[in-house]
Amino acid sequence: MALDKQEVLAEEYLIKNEPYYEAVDNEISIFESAYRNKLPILLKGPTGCGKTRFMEHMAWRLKRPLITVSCHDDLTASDLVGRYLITSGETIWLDGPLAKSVRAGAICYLDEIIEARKDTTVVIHPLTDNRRVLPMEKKGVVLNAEDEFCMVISYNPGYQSILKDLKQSTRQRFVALEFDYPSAEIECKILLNETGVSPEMANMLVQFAHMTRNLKGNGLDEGASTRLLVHAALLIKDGIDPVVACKSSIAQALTDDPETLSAINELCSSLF
Amino acid sequence: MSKIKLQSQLKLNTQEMEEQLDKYLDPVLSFRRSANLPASTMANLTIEQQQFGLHWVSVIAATNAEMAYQFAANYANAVTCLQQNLEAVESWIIESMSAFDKKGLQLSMTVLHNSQKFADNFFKKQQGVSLDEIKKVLTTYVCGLSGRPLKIALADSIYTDTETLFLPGLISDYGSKEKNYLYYKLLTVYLWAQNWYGTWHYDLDWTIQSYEDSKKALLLFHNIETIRLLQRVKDKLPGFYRQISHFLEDYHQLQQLQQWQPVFFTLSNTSCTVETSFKLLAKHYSLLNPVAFHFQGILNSDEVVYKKNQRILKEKKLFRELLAKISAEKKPVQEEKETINEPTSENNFSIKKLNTPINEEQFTDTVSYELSLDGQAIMPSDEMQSLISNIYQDLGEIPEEYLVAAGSSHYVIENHQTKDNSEDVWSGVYHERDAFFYDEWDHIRQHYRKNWCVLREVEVSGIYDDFIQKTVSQYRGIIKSLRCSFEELKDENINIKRQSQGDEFDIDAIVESYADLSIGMELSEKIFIRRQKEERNIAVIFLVDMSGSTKGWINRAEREALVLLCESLEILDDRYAIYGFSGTSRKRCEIYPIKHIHEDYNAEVKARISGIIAKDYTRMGAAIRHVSHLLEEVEARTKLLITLSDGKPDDYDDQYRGEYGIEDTRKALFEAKQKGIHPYCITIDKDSGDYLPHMYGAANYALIEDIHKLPKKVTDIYRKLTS
Repeated sequence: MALDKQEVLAEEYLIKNEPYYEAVDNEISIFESAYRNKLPILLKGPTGCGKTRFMEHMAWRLKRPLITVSCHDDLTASDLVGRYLITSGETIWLDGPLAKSVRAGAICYLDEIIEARKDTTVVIHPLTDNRRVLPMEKKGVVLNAEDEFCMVISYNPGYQSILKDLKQSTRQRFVALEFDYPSAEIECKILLNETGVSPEMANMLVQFAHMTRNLKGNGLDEGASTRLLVHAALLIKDGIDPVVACKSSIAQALTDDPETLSAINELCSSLF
Repeated sequence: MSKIKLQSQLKLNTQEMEEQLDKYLDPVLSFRRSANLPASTMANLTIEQQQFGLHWVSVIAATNAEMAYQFAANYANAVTCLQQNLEAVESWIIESMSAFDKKGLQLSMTVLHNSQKFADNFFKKQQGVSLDEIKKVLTTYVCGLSGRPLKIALADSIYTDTETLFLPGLISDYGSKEKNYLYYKLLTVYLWAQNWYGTWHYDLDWTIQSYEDSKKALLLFHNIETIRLLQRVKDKLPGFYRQISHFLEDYHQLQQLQQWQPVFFTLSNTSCTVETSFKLLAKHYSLLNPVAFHFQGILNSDEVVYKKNQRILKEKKLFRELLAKISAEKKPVQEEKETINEPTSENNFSIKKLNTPINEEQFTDTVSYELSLDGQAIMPSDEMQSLISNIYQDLGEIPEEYLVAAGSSHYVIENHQTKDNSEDVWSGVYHERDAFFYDEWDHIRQHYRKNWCVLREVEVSGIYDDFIQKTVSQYRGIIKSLRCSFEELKDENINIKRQSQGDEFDIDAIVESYADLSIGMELSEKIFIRRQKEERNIAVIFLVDMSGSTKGWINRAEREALVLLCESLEILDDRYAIYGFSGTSRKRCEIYPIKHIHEDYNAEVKARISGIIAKDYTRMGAAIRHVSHLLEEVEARTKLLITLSDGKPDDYDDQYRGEYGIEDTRKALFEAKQKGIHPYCITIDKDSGDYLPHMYGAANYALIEDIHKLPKKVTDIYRKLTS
């Protein structure tokens, strides 16, 4: 495929407007340094704490296209690398997202890598050590990654079970950035920025989130994420009663267990 | 009940009733005591009530004839007290029978004689809320509020010992269920607030002693504290405060009284601590008279001091051990080697609060802490964070002496909970602690007997002999063929042809589609082969009968079967566990873990298989309930519970033998099915056709007539079940 075509393609993945991101620690400088040194990066943290938003922000900051793949258990190696297709009587090769990013020097972000089957993740190994190459077995070629190419994967250690764990041989290739829910102050700021609710309401929502996070291990696997708070805040901004908004956008999203659910609902109605 | 209906479709008179009662009450009747009196009262009831009464007389007489007589004598009265409501009468009967199960005849007679009291409570309960109903929700609720997890328990008075909130068993004074529940919530939050807002920071008794009338001082302090706590709650949980405000009438009245106004005014500032309450007490002691808020309960400072001291010691130790662990991790190994001969220098730990609120009161509940070692910041682990927060909750600070790591860089985290030895239960060292309680189904009563079976997990002492080796070599040929057949079950890639997307071309499809194209038809898009991986996601528990009847050959065959199973199952990724079960009587049901679900098939497991010996009886229901509870916690698409047995459920007491045991086991299996578990039974009992289809369902059991074939068959059956 002609190079200019690839560039046009990469253009599609460029993020033009700054995505709002509130830095919690020194994650931005660590990411930039890893990127300069061509090191792959692993983002870990609970769901909805801002991993994907951080990636968008970094792609915008570094002015690189961002190609995101949401991993699932049907994802095969050829889904990542590419495959032959037949059109009008001839076979043509179609690059997968990984090959695309390698060629275009983009940031390839494999979201929730743990959901992909173990044999699929091995494909990224040669790209994540000093070789930085992508062997394309079906074409019989080895692609050298552009200098700007960067590999990022994310996973949620909360899901950890015997069935779903990242292999040591995979995880020991990455610079790891740990994410957690932001501090109350920063979380309030995020809510204000993302949704425009009143500071008092943002503060209440954050308090509610902390209450649900206290329940981690006592009925809940995880507490309310910042993303859920944003959802609730948006509903509230739109005129929905805070208690109703929290019940439907936070409590119901967190659990199906009737007793835990009613305890969360109680907490919610105690607060607002 | 149906039998009695058949006997009489007409209302019975006294004489007929007496005849009926005589049948059941015969053992307790004499020339001095006849069934005439109960019969005469029951004769006045309606046909339906008579039949209902006679049915229960027969059921109760099966347990105890005297209890049945007392029931018959009090039945008519109970029907009146309980407003002819037979469902309510049934609850009264069940309560009296449970009392008999727990404490014997005396207590059950008390219940039977006091039907009026039962009726009062029963109707109260209809609109009331009992602690049992809402305990779980309240515990989760209070855990969400912040602070250390607090337990909720039943007590006569309302108080907290800083670890548990003690609440009454039933609240029914407030018209509707909702209101009664809300009142529970008020008590819970109020006691939680005592813990969270520092009522117990100081030794209360010591402070109060200085007053002339210490009793009055204590009551007054309790009032002032209540005002302070409610102000804080109002600020933190405005929604809750709105909900409960109608319970606070006397509180609001007090607020109007002039002499109390300075107190309310001072405490309206939500940054007030318990010290403010002490100051207010000192200032207004002589001017104010204490009042009793109905929700405030008591301040039980003796229990608080006891619990707090225990906890402080424990937490101090744990905290210092965690510090030692951190310092051991932080210190590079080399450095450790160099300094091995020097006395260990003390590490300089310090601690500070993080994200201190900009706006004084804004985030006080969500403070986190930063720990630093030699000036270098360490983010404490979750465990450490919650420990620090607990210590802050008790002491309001982390004292200097806490910040010294325990005993140089060597740390030993001891198990802080000493585990009871399950054998000690019989020597009277402890009773029913660390045991699991399971209900048992009584098919005669058609009710569960609550917490009837006491079950413990008892370790099997492994025998390190050559049993496994011998079995493996004896069955070498069979194991090989079993392994081959299991190999076929492994996750496989299935090629699905003619797909619109896939990894490879489907040559046949391409050829066909080109042929189609050449004759002018449309080119098919379905020319790919897609590989699909079928994942087995199975968890299985084998429950092995270790009753006395398995002694000898059966026991050996069972053990051999387990060896063959394990050898074959190692090929697959199926998760499997093996538990033995036996016991004597309901108070001593025992489960013997041979292999836990996440344990490997290692030398210890092998030794435990060797160590399986025939024990006592077969109280199956409790064992099945326990393992289904274990299996419920495992995440798997398919869950199997396979029982290896040699006969019917049976126990030391005659009662469990026969229909009772079969019905209980059937119920336990039904409960397992509801949890998404597939039960299956492999038996060598030739008479099993009489009861197993009833218990497991016709297709869910297998009979192995030749015991020698058990080892091979079990593995075969497993393969068939899971393929």
